[in-house]
Amino acid sequence: MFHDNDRSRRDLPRHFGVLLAAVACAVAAIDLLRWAIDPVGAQESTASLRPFIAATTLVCGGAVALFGLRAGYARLALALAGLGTSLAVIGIVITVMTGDIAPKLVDLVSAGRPEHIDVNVSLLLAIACLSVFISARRPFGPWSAHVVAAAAGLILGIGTMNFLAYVVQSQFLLAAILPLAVRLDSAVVLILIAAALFAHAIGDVTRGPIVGRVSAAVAVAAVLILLETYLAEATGRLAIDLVASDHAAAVALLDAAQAARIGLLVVLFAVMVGSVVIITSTVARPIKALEGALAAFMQQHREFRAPVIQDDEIGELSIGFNKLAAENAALQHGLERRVEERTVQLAAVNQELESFAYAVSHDLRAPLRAVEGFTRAIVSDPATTLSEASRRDFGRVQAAATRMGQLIDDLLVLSRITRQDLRRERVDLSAIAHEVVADLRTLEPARAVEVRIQDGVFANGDERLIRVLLTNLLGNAWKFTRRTPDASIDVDSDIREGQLSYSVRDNGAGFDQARVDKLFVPFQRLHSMREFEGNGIGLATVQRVLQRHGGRIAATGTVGHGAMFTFTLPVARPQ
Amino acid sequence: MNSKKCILLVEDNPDDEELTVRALDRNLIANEVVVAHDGEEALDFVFGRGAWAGRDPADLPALILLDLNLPKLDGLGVLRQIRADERTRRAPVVILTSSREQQDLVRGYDLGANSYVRKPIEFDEFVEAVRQLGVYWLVLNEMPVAVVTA
Repeated sequence: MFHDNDRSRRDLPRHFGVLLAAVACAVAAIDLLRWAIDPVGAQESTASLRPFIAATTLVCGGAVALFGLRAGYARLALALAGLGTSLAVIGIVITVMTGDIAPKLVDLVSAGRPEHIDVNVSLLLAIACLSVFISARRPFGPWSAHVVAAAAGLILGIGTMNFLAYVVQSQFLLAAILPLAVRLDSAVVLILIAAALFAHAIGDVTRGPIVGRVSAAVAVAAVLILLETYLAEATGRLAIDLVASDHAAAVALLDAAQAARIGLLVVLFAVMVGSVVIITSTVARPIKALEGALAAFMQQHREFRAPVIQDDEIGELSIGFNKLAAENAALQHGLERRVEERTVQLAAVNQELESFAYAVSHDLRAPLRAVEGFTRAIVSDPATTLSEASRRDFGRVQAAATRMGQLIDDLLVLSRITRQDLRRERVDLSAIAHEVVADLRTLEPARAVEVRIQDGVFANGDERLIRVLLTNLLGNAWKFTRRTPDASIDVDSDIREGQLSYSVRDNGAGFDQARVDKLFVPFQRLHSMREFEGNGIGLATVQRVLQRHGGRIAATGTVGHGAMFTFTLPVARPQ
Repeated sequence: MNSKKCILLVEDNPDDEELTVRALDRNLIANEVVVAHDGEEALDFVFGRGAWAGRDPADLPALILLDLNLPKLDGLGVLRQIRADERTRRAPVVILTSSREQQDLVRGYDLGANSYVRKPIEFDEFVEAVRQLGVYWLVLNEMPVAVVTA
């Protein structure tokens, strides 16, 4: 996937499969040769395939081997597989027509080569050829691999069971495989062909050198075990045949066989140790390295990359991981850059807003002063004669200019709340509330309003902004209770889910709950100017202060029965 | 006691200039009012240069009413130069401006302004503010006798 030169290494299991199929072919070819040269000897040998079966095996093994070579040999493999299937079917027909095909236990126990059970081996060879025939017709994919693997599994299972039954000579096992019995020599070639098919399927489905190496090690071990067992069995029988005629030769044969078997076992042991070493170095170590890289990457070492130790599955995984890490780092970098850009843009916008507010503060007020001042000059000049109506009109001009000045000031407060930095500290809400009410009383000493403020309430926030907030809420309560006979204002608090909930309740004019949404929108007023003065910026300012603190505000009211504003602020940390 | 000394009004807006002069008149403040229309002009007067060549800088105005938004050189620049000069550093300077921006207040005081007054929109309030300024700076407040440096 990442390296094309991996291809040859990936194909290791398949090449091994080709080798196994070639061995099966060689066995079949030798047997055929024996039949041609020495038919009597071949007839008597326990380890010799009958001519027809040998021919079918040769064709089938060839098909499997060519199938493993793949490119360029597909047509030939297809042809051979077709031929093998036909031969096997003919073999079945001949066997069925010539005799009794029901295997008998005694045949298996005595000689291990009953002729009439050739129908089973023919059937299995036909299955092998068919699987190749089906798979070789299309590009090799998972589906074909499964067909081949299924056929190989079936053949391998039956072949191995037969082989074991002959070797162990267990009555029970022999009885169990009786319907599926094949001759011992047939079982060996079937195992070889099935293993070859398996190797092809594995090589193509998993496509990885590690799987290849592991399968090869297991296959080598399996072949060594088979060889060792076969050697023991074959030499044992041969020695039994020999012992009557030539005792010394039989003993020598057994000794030689034992030496060979010990050699095979030593090789088997070496293969197993080698497998462990290979798995440790090619699997465990790279996985450990990858783990380390992942851990480093998770700990914010964004530049860390996994070492690519080998061109195998783990190497691919490491390369994939590195790609992902690089992408992640690039993404992170991109995000950081964007945040930086946005911050710069935001700072520019803020700067602009700052200049704008400054200009408003300076330049918008000057003309208003002229309007108000010169109107006043006209009205108060003793030399001017004005009708009462004109005098009233000039009064309106002056009032309008003053109102607009107030509007500008309030808007500036609103914008300053958004612009200025938030300084979080422990704020004494009760003290501020008392101060605000004291100011209100100073402005309108004639009013009798009963104000109850809960003491000792602290919040975490910016004192300047919270003062603006309470000035607005208490100012509203003060204003809207102006026409209430027994005016009262209650300020209470509560702590819920780590948030301070603070409420200002009055029994004044109230508002229509259905229109609560309009309450916090700048310039939206729910009362006429004639009833209660104001410009509709106060509650918008309150909401802005709370937004900056991460707090919320809710309002409930009834027309003529007062209003209650409840807001939340972070609780102050204990001192 | 400062009756002979003049008041320097630094103001570029003719409306505001007129209103300030009227407010001073309303309060019967008789000191001569000199108007500078930009920062350079104000410094020319204070340091006796340009159109005011020959005026003695040690003869401090009784009060300098200084706007912040000025052409050529802004009010804070004027204030900085007045405070930097040994002869004029004790001149009483009241910033009289539209702005109530914190940054202006802070910088004004940092540079040594004596007061900071925001011009109200209502003329009556403005007259009252000017009256109080006059009472305080021209009557109550004592200034050191001009120190003539070598």
